Amino acid sequence: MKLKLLSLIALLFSVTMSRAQDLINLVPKDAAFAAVLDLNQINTKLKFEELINIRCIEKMSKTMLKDIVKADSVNYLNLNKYGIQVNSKAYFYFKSSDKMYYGALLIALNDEAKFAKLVKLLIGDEQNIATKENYKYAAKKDIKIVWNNKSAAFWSAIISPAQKDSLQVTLRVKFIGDEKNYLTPPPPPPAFGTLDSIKYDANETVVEPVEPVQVETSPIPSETNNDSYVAPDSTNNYNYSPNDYSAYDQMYAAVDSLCDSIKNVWCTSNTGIFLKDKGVNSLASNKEFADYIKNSPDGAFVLDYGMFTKLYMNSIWKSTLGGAMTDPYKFIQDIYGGLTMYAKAEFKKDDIGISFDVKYGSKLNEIYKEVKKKKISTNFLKYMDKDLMGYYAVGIDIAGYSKGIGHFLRELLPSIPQYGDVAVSAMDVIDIFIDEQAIYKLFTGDMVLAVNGVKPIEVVHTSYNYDDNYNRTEKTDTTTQMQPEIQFMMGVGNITDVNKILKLLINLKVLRQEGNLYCVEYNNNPLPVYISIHDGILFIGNNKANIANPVVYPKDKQLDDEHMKLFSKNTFVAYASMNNIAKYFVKEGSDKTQRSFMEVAGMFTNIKIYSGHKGDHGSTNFVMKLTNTEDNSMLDLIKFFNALYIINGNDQDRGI
Amino acid sequence: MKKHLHKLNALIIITLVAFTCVSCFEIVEEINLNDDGSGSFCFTINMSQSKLNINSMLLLDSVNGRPVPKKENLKAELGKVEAKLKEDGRITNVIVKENWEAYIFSISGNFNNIETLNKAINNISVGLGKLKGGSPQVADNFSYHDGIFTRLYNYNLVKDYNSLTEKDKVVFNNAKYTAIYRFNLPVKSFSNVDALKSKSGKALMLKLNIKDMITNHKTLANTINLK
Repeated sequence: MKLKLLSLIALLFSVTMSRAQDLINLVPKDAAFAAVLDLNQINTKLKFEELINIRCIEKMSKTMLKDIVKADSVNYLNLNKYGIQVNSKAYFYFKSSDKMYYGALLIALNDEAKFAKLVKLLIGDEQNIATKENYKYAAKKDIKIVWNNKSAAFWSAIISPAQKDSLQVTLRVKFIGDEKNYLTPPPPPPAFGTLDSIKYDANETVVEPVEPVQVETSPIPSETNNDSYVAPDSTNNYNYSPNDYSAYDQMYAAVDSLCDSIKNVWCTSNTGIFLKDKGVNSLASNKEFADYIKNSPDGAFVLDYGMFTKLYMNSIWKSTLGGAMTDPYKFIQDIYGGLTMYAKAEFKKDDIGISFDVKYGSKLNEIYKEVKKKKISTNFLKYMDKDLMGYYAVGIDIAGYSKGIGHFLRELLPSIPQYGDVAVSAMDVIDIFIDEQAIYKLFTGDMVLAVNGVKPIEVVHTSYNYDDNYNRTEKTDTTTQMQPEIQFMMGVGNITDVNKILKLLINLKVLRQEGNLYCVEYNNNPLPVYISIHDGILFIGNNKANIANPVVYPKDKQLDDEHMKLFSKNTFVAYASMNNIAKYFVKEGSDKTQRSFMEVAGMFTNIKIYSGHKGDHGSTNFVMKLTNTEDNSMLDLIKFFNALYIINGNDQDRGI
Repeated sequence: MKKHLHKLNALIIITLVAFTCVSCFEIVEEINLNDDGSGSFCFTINMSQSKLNINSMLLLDSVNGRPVPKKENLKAELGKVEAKLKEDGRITNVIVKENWEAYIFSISGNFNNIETLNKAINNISVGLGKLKGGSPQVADNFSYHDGIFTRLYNYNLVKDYNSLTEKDKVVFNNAKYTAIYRFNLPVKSFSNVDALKSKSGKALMLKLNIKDMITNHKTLANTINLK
């Protein structure tokens, strides 16, 4: 039932809106996570009520919404009947404090009768709707709904792990008697035959410790200062022997029950905040986010990564390490402090674009502040066949990153007990003996790994000759086999020093030289690897002929200018030609696999990921170029998944 | 007879299924037979033409859902086979050659009579069978009486072959089996029409596609009359 309720909420999230108001004012500016879906745009690309005609959507929605489908077997995906209009934006946010975590899904809903029906659908009883101040609300377990004639919020709250830890510590002292026992495992179970002598009662452990909690008479937190709420000290009511085997069970049950009580009080007191206009403290006043979504993406979110990390680490650190290593922990918190992630998705006609932008905090900026490199050398592109399967290219500012990470380590290491100072001293000693500048200049920091496609590669193998009496002697034969040709290219900075390293490797018997070609020949080398240097590039690959004399493709055989632009504006580019990959794999594997690859080839032309760094921002983009857009990229994507769904045999049962 | 399936060549073939995609390999069976029934043997499997594929597969845990044997396990089992043959004592001059770069492996030795050779082959079959976790049944592969040397082949692997997936069957498409028998006396006649007599007249060679053997389109069986 819970799954069904959550599923419906997810559906609501996908289709709800209001023309009358922008719900962004209901979202707090300091939410750790806030997301928006432009349902108005999505609805023009994806008529929700028509999704029922797509088999996988029909099947999955029937499975998830079984009871609703029974009530209305035809129009259950038509959300207008639930009072939901599909013309604007919906929001979801998550906020946290030291004591409570809470979040809400905000939708527009302006029909009271339909709101009542929706409550009945989700909660099971419309009579449970209560009225308070200027809103109505209903709740069932973790599903809570509040409505104010214009909009509705589906919300939930849980007590924070830090608060729970704090209660646990208090109760542990009461139950177990010694805080030092925190990491000590519970006493072993009693020996067989002695169970009767143990006071163990499952019912007692749940009920008795909780009953004395006077939650109803406790001070109620205010809506604006909910963190000031202090849990009632009911722990003095427990009087159990530390030697009692059930003490741990009772303690955990007491903690859970007390948390529930505190949560209920908080929820009762704070229902109204979810529909309260936050004014200048709303997400609408977050200028950076407003700028980020000014091109009207279909969906976007902003995440205060630093806050998430702080909350997560605070809890984990305390419970796993008992608060040890506080300094490095704080340092790592600082690293993520102020780090904010923005993301958005845009479904255009011929492609699907998803982008992630990260705004670094001050500590992380220290690592990046000396990183000047903004592009990847385009010199590699002439060695890359336009029919390749894929590649990834990286441009690393070796000196910049090294200095940044050096600063970082010199600040972090001293905070680590015992070995931190030793590590810093070791770094100082290395600085004395190592010519860092020479290392930085060894390579340019540009590199590409390309899978040039399946190409004929020579394989030397052993076969046999037979004499007049069929006596066998071995001979060496060469055959040509079709193999994926892998080519790694790295820009050489100081060719003299690189040659010195190659000579060292030859002397160490790691490499063997054949003219201008180097062969890797260490023991048990699993794959043939050849190395050469041409045109200021170190070539490494498995095709001996191509590495010995790298092919420079004529302009019309090279990748198009778009790749030139990608290399010129990014420090990381990954590209996969789905058509070329599918052409190879479509002949491999089972019928299902082959059909799946045919679908992939039919759907995607290529997939690109590229990212770069600018000032205190990092940006990553993920773009899927579609082959043939029949409708629009969003609908095509759903149809694509539907095709895979059918190919994989999930379409057998047409019943519910 | 149909029960007597999994013998040396069958075991090698089935073991190779674990190396799916190893579509080019050759098994060479050589017997040098003296007039008194003693002689020497050498069994070789040459997978050098597929070494790129094998190298790749050895980096994986499984291929097509089948676990890829670890090199260490293969070495250990080969060592056990060698030790068992030497311990038995009936086969002398036992030599196991392992070429892990070209993936060529051979076992050779001398025998006093054909029965000893049959037992040795069965020992090898059992040893290699452990690689697949099986317990193969064993039976004679050769006989020699009154100047007539017979290569026995009474296997029916069609059912086993048909139970393989299409991708696994590909393994056998280009695999070859070569049988060579050398004698002191000239060969007077032989029963297998695919066999070739050497220019010297004292040796026979039979080259078959393993897929044809498995599907019973061709056979290794051969009766060779030396008198």
